[in-house]
Amino acid sequence: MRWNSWFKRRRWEQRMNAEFRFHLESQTEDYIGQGLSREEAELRARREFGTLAWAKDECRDQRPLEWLADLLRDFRYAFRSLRRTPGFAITAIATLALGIGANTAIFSLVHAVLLRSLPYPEPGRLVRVASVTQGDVSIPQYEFWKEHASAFATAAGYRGGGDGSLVSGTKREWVQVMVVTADFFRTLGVSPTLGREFHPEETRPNGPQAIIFSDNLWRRAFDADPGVLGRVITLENTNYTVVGVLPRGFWFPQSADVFVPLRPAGGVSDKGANTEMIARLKPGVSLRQAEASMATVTESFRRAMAGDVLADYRGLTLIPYQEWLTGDVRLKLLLLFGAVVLLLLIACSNVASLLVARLAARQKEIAVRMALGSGSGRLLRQFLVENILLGVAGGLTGLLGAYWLLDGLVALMPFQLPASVPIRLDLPVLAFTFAIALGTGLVFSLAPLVAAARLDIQETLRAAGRSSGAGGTRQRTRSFLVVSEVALSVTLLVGAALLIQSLYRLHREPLGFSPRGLITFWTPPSPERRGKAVELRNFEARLLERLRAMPGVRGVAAVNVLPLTNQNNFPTQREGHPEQSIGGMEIRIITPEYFEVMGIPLRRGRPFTGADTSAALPVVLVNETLARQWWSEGNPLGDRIRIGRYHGQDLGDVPDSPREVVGVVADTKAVYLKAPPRATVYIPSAQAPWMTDGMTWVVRAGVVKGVAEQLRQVIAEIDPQQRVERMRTMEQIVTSVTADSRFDAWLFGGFAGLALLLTAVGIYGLLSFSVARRTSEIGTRMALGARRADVLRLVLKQSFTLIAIGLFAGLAGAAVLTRSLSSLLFGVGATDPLSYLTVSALLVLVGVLASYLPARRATKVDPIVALRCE
Amino acid sequence: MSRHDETTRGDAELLQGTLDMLILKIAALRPIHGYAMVQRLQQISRDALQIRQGSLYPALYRLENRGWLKAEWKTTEGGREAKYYSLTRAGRRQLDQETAGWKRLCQAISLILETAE
Repeated sequence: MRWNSWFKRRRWEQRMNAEFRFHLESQTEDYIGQGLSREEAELRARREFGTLAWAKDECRDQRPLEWLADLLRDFRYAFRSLRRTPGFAITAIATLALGIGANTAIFSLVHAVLLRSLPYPEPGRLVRVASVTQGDVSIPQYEFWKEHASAFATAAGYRGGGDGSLVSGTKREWVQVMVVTADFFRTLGVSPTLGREFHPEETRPNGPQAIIFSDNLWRRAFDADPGVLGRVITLENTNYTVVGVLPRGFWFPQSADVFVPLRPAGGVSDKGANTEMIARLKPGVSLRQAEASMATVTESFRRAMAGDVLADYRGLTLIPYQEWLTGDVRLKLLLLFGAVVLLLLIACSNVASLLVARLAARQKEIAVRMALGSGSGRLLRQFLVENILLGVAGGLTGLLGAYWLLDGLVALMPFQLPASVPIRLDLPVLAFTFAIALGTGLVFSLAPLVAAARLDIQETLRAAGRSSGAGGTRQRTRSFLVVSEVALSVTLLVGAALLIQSLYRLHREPLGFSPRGLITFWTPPSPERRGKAVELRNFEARLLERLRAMPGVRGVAAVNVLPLTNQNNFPTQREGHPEQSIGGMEIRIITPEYFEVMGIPLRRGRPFTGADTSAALPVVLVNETLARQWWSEGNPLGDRIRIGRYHGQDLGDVPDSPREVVGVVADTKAVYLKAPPRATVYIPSAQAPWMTDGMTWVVRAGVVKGVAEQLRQVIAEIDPQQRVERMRTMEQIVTSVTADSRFDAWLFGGFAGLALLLTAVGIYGLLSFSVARRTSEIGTRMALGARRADVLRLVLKQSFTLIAIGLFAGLAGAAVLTRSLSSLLFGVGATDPLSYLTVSALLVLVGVLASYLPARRATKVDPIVALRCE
Repeated sequence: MSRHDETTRGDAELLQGTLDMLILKIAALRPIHGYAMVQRLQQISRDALQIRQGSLYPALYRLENRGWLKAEWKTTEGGREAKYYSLTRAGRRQLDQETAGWKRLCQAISLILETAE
C-alpha cells in the first residue's frame, strides 16, 4: 500500500472511531442523566449499540474500493496464517509444484509441437502427397500429379541430399544439402530475401546449375555479403551459381544449408519411390474435396502409365502437412499430457484433503471469528484467498522446476520434435501455468468450502472440538478424495506397467547377431570415387587389408546397410517361379567375413569366400525367413533367384544375372526391432558392380576403448580425403532403437511413481486424521475390552475399503484408457492381466504401508487419556 | 452471543429499504448526527421500530457513498465534534421517489385489506 493512501485510510478509520465514540458517549451521558450509574450506563449503551466490530466492518465495506484493501488484508492474513503452519504450507506447495511443474513442462512441448502452426503463410493449405502407405512418391507420379491434380495451386518434390563439401575460393565448408524442385519455396509460401527461386530450366538435365543458400550459411561462411549472388561455388566437384539467399528464420523439418535443383535423371532412380511431395491446395478447396479428386487422378495415371503400373497400385493420398509432421509424436505428447493432468488431479485432491483437515483443526478459530462478527461470506473469501495463494506459490515453484527441467527433458527425448520454434517457457506457456495455478486453487478449494458452508458455529462452539455432525461430512469428503486418488494412480500405474513390460520384452527380443565388441562406421564415397565401382572395390579391399592387420582387431567386414539402421530393398523373384515374387526384398551386399564378424550362424550350405569374385558364378545367400517362404518343402541350395524381376516382369536398370543359392543363414532384425525379420538376400560385394554407395564397416575388437582413434588414423593413412562418419558401437545402435520405448517407460513410470507417492501421503493423512478424531471412540472401545488387534482391524478396515473401491474404479478406468497406448506397446496387450495384477498388488502394498503408522498409533491409545480428552 | 449478532443482521436486511427511506426523511429536516438520528427514529416511531443502534451506521455510510447524504464535522451544542449528515439534491429526489412508491404501496395494501373485509 502506498504511504499516501495509508494515511488517508488511517484518517478515515480515526474519523469512524470518533463518530462511534461520540455516539456511545452521548448515549452513556443520557443514561447517566436518567439516573443510572456510570458503569451501568456504559454497559447499557454498548448493549444497545450492538457488536462494535461488526458495525465497523460493515461501514468499511461501504467504502469505494474497499474490496481491494480487503483483498490485500486477506492476502496478508493468509500469508501469516500459512507461515504459522509451515508443515502444511510446504507439503501443499510442494505437492502443487509437482503437479503444475509437470504440466508446464509437458504443455510447453504440446504448445510448440502441436498447437503452434507452421511458419508458412496459410499453413492449413499445405498437404503432404504420399502413397496410400504414407510413403514417398516416384518422379513420374510427382510430375503427373503436379500437372493433373486440379486441387493443387502448386506442388513440389524434395529429397535430402546428404552432406557435401562446398568450396568457394579457398574456403571449404561441410554443408547439409537438400534437393528440391523449382516450385518448392513457392509451395511453402517463402521467397528468398536475396536473389530468386530456381528457374524451371535449372531443374532440367544439362540445364544451368544453380544453388540457394540458407541465411545461416550466408552469414557463417560468406559474412552476409550480398555480393555472393552470381558467384560460382563448387559442391562435391560440381559448379553451381548462387542465385538466392533464404530469409532468416526460414524453417523446414529437414534442416539444410544449401538447396540445389532436383533433376530427374530419366533412369531407374526416377522410378524409385524416393521423393517427398508437398502441395499447396488452391484457395477455397477443402481437404475433403482435394482428397476426393485424387481417385480420378490415380485412374488417369494408371491409364497413362499402362504396363509400368502394378496391378495393386492404389495411387496417392493427401495428409495435412502439420499432421504428418507431428505423426507419432502427437500421440506420445497427448498421452504424456494426459498423464500429467491425472497427476495434477491427484495433487489437487491431496491438497484438498489437507485443507479439509486444516479446516477441522481451525474450527474453533473460525467459530470465534464468526462470533466476533465476521460474515460467513468474508470467511469464505478469506479461505479462497489462502487457497489461491497456495495455488500461486505452488505454480511459481512448479514453473521454476519446469524451467530447470525442460531443456533436460527435450535433450533426453529420443525422437525428433518437429517444432518450428525453440521449446521454452514463453508467454502462452506462462499464461497456461498461471491459469492452472489459479484453477487448481479454486478446484481444491471446493471440497473444503462445501464443508465450511455447512459449518454451524453455534454447534461448533458448543461442541468445542469434539466430534460433530459436520465432521462426518468432512470425513466423507476426504474419503471420496482418497478413493479418486487411488483410482487415478491405478490408471497411471497400469499405463506405466504396460510400457515397462513392453520395454522388457523389447530388450529380450532376439537380434540375430551379437553386438558386443563391435565398432561400426560409414565411409561415404569420396568425390573422386563416386559412382565408380571398380575404384570403390579397390579402396575397400585395401582398407579391409589394413584394418585386419591392426593389433587387437579380431575381425573386419563391410555391409551396405547395418541391421536396425536402414533398409535397402528391391523387387526380387525366384527364377522360374513368377508367383514367388517379393517387392521389398532386402538386399545386403557384404564382404565374405560379415557373418563371422557379426556372429550370424550359417544354417546350411557354405558362406562366401574370396573365390566368389566378379569372374566366378554369381551366388547368393538367403536368410531363414526367405527360405521358409520360398522353399518351405524343398531345398533352396542350388536353386536360383533373380534380383530386379517381379512377377516375371523385368524392371530393367539393375544389370543383375540369375544367382545360385549356396547357403542359408540365420535371421537378423531388419530395420525395426519391433518387426519380425524380413526376407533378405546376401550378395558378395565383389559381385555387385552396380553398388556404388559407401560401405558400413563392422570391426570386432577385443577392447573397444581407444579403437576409434586408431581406426581413423589407419583410414587417413590410406586416403587423407576419405571421410569417416557415424562411428559408434553396435551396442549404441541397439540402445538407440530402444530409446523411444525406454523414454516412454521412464517418463510414464516416473509420473506414475509420483502419483503413487502422493496417494500414499493422501491415505496416510486421511487415516491419521481419522484416528486422531476417533481417539475417544477407540479409548472407549479399549476400556470396554477391545484388544490391540481389534483396533488395528478397525483402522485397516477403513483404509482397505477405500483402497478397494479406488482400485476397482482405477482398473476399470485403465481398461478404457490404456487402449490409446496400444500403438506404443510391444509384445503385450493393453489388457495384459499380469500388469493389472502387479499394479493391484503394488497398490495394496503401498496402501498397507501408508495405513500402518496411523493404525499403530491407534493401538497405542491410552483409554484413560483418551476419555479425559472429552 | 451469536444469536444476538444474527438478529441484528436480520433486522438490517428486513429494514434495508425502509430504513434508508426513514434516514433520508429525518436528514431532510435539518443536518443531524448519528446519535440524534437514532433518538429521532425511536421517538417518531414511538419505539415501535426496534433497530440495533450499530446497524444504523452502515446504512448512513452507504447512503453517503451513493451521494444521497453529505456529511460534515461540526461542533454540537455541548461543544463536542460530531459528524452531521444532510440531504443532497440527489437524496431529495430519491426520498420523493421512495415516498411516492411507499404511499402507492400502502394505498394498494389498505385497499386490498378493506375490500377483503
